[in-house]
Amino acid sequence: MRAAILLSIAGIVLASGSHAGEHRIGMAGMAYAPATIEAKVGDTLVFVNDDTQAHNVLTATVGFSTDLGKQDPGSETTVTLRKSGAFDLECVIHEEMRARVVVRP
Amino acid sequence: MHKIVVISLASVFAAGLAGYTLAGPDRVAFPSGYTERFVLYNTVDRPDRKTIRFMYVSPETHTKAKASEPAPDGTILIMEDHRAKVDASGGVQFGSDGRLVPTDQITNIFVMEKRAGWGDAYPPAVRNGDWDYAHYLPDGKPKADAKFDGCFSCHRNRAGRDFNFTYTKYLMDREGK
Ligand SMILES: [Cu+2]
Repeated sequence: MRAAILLSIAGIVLASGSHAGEHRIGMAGMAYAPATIEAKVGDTLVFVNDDTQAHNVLTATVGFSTDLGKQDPGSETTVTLRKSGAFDLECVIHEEMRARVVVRP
Repeated sequence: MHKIVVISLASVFAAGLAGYTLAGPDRVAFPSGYTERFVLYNTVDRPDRKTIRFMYVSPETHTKAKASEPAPDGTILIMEDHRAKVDASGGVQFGSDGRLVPTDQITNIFVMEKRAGWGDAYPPAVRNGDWDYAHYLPDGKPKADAKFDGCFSCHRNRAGRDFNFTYTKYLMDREGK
């Protein structure tokens, strides 16, 4: 029985290793949630503005720098992670809104 | 005589940013030869506008700049917009490094420069320290109908980082802060 459970867990791990994952990041209450994202190359980040005011996502880390533009409440923006490494996110409008993303190969 | 001067200053303020006589491109000159002289410290993908922004800094000030201090007097930052390479259907393409692929086609050159006292031209609610802004076209001529209210209001969101989004961040990362 125990062996069967271990095998099925191994199967799940194998399956997740071969499929791109989706990471949803909310903005309610003027904060990215979660504020730390662990992902791998090929995964997507979906930024969901579930707040009542406009936000934005900017990465100013060299090699990853991207400005996704303004996001109005209710909108979503999807980004595919194309390279490994770590970068910071910040909202152009609200300096205190920050998150960090680590992308494994 | 004194009263007349006061009144004319007030009318300049009432006219908004466009009314400042000694501001914007009048004193933020086009930095000729910047692609050879300046330091390209970052590039920012802007996928929604199919644009890549090349970020340059003046080399004389760059050597002295520290993350913990405001940028040195005389610092010039340039944001040079390049069109991104697109496929037949107009979608942006990605290079082997996972980044947008810039073309040589430049659309806009935005310049911000700081000089001691320049901020005095602006009311406290607008002022970005001693920074001022200019908007040039690829031929080096100032964009005729350029508006700078957006520059000032957006960059005020980084008052704690010397009114810039990428340069202080670059210095912080370089110094491991
Ligand atoms: Cu925000």
